[in-house]
Amino acid sequence: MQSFNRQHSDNKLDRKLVILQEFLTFRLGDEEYAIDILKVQEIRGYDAVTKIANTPMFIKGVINLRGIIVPIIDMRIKFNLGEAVYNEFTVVIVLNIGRRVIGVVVDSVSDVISLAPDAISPAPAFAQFDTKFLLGLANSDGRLLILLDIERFMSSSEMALVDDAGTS
Amino acid sequence: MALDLSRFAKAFFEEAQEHLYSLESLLIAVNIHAPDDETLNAIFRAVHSVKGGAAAFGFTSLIGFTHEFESILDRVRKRQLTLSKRLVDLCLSASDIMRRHLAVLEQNQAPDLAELAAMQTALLDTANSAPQTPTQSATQTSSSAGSMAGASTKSSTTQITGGDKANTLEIGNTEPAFHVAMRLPINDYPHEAAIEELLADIHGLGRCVSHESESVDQSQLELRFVLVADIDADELRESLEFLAPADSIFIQPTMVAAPGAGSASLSAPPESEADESAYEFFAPLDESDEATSSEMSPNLALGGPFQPVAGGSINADSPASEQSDIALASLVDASSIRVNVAKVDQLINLVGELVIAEAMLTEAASVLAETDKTHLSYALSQLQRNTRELQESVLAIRMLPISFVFSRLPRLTRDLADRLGKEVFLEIHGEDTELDKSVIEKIADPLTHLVRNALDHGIESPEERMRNGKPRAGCLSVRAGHQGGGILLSVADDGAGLNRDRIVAKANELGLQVTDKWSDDEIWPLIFTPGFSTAESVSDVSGRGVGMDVVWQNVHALGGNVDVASRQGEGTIITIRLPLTLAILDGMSIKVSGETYILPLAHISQSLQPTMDAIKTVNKQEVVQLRDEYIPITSLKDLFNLADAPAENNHRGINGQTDAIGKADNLLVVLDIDGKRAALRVDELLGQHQVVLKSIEANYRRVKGLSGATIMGDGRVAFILDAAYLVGVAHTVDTDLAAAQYG
Repeated sequence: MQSFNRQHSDNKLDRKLVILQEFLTFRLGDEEYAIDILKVQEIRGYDAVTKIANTPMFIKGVINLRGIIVPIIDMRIKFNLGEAVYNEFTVVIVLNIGRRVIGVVVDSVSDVISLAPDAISPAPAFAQFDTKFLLGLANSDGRLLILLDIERFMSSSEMALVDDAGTS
Repeated sequence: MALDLSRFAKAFFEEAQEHLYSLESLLIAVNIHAPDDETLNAIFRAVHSVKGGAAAFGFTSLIGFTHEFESILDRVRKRQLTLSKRLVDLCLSASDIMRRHLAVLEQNQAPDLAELAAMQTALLDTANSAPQTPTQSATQTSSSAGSMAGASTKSSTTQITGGDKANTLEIGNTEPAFHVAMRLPINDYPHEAAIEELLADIHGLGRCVSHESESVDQSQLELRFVLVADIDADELRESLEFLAPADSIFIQPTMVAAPGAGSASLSAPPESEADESAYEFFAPLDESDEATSSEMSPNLALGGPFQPVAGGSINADSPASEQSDIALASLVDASSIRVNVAKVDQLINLVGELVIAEAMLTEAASVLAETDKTHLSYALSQLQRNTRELQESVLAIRMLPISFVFSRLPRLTRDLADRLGKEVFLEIHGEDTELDKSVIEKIADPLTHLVRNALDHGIESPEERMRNGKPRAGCLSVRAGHQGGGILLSVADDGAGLNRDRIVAKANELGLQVTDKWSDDEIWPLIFTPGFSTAESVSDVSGRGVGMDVVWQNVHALGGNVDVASRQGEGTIITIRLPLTLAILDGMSIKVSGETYILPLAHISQSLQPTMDAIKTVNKQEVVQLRDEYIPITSLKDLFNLADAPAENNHRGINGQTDAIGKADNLLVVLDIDGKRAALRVDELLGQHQVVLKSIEANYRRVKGLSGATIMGDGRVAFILDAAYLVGVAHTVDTDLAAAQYG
């Protein structure tokens, strides 16, 4: 028990020295996005979904993920990037947002990168996109990464994934 | 103490609540005029068990109280004290207070000691002023009971003259302990915190289970406590002499862990330090009481010596372990184990998965060539049978008898009838009917409310009943039973019945368009409208108009429905129909526009393929004639915008899309919700399934028209349609309006 605690505090110490955050990067059209890897539960292929009536286009429907019903969102449609084609290469990133499990469809998953806080620069104001959902921009080997605050984005009323107090 | 008791504390609280629960039902069941020994013993045991647990976990406030409570119950079961309605009432309140107290303790908050103390006093007052049982009680058959009756006269005199003292001698716990009284200079301990500090020091010697302090005069404070400790009396004295003058310390070795050593005895000025005199002082045993305490031992099966043991040098371990043995024994007695609901739910989920996997396997095998699958199909059918059985057994774990809810009704009825000055005879049938735990939990409040309502509004006062030629006592009958795939609950009273005129008047007052022409069946459900109360005066029981609508909502949320039948002057019956479980649903799978949906079978009254001319339109709303009735047709395709038709013009009635199917193969499923019917247009009926309900809301939000989802044999998700929504939409004349209202 004690040795475990010590180890634990050592880890903390390490983090203090260099706080590296790991991100999963994925492609939507020509753009490359990154999300906090700790929110990612798993990555899987795209299965046939069951459509939900009267929902926005980007909500593809739900799938059965080992017995739980998981909604699937196509980020390409939501962000209007790339072509929403579904084939054996289409990837679903299964996210854990709060206590919810949500799947997002992306064009492809690139890799996992570690970023130091000073490598992230604040996002400039975009006309079409609300910057409150962005953690910032980062440059990794010449690639521009858009860091998405996936938790805030998925919980937003815009996505209508959760019941608002007002609607029923 | 090396053993950490706190982790057992939860078990104690659960158990204590159960004991109180059984105490309550026993108190209600007991025949006040001719109580039988069995019940009285059981009542005593319930309180005693709580005390035992409280002592083991050191809940001092509770030990003192239960001890006094138990003493009184002991006198009752020994027929030294006559049971009276007042006493039973008091015992019930005492059980309430204990329940509250336990709840507070469980949350580690400071309990309301004053309430406990007040109740204790009330109990003692009642017990001491109550008439004594005459000795010739017919139910006393055993010789020991006979001899006890003889002794009772003597003990009762002691109790009346000596006040509380006699009660302090009831000993039901075998930990070696000391009653300690000591006087302290008041200046050193100006407030409670200082005393607590002192007691914390004393804790080093043993476990201090209760304490009280009182200023004797302006300079001195008397502190009394019970210390559970396995040490020598002299050793204790030596330790305590550091804290207080030697001549003010009294130590009484005893086997009692219970505190509350009669305040009467302790408040008297201490005179001597000799153990002898202190012994006499604290324990003025008279013979009958000695008999009382030894009489207890066979019942308690503790076997240990109950008389105070001078010196107190008994190993503390053995009685303590004996106590936990008793706790264990009571668990074994119930032949059940306590399992976290989450574990059961996980098991249910896993079995659900297994069933799905099995179905997928069966489906996969069905496409194989006939020659390949002879062996396979045998194995698969075996697997299928076993998984179904497994699923049933696992689901049965969650099933509880409805007596969990019903058993609170006698108490409720009794209290309410008393308060309202009514006489009510409560009949309960079918309390063994089993229901899913989640259903039971959610139906408890509505059911209680219905009973309360029936008592308050239904059953008339005895005088009025006599005037109307009815028996004085009203009859309230609560029933449960299976019907079809569900459960039927009913609350029936033989009271005044619903007042039609008043309901109509009230409905109009609320702005509902109700006329006298409405049939009773249309009028009665109005009582479920929010804010609807026809009670002439608002009582603290009911009549605020909140409640019946909550009943309706709760029942509907459970997928059930409520029916009312009433006749003026004869009574009212409210019937609740509920699904057996929330985890599994009998459904019919249908196909609309290539999508599979499940309709709850319970709401399907029939399916039909009407001819062209059976379908008419009324104000663009399609209706189908079914015998004498025109039933509105609703289309999922329109509601859910299933086809590729543009969403804007698709709300109203039929259009090109529906025509495309062709009316000749019109396939309609008639849904029935509380007698309201609507026909749902479907493309295909696939078959009947038992489906495992899955929540959509867990990871998504609520979706209009869907009550849940399930996983089909092929592993795909299918939605379960909300029949009530579909019928509701169909019955709103304008579907746009319906969409606005329901959607």
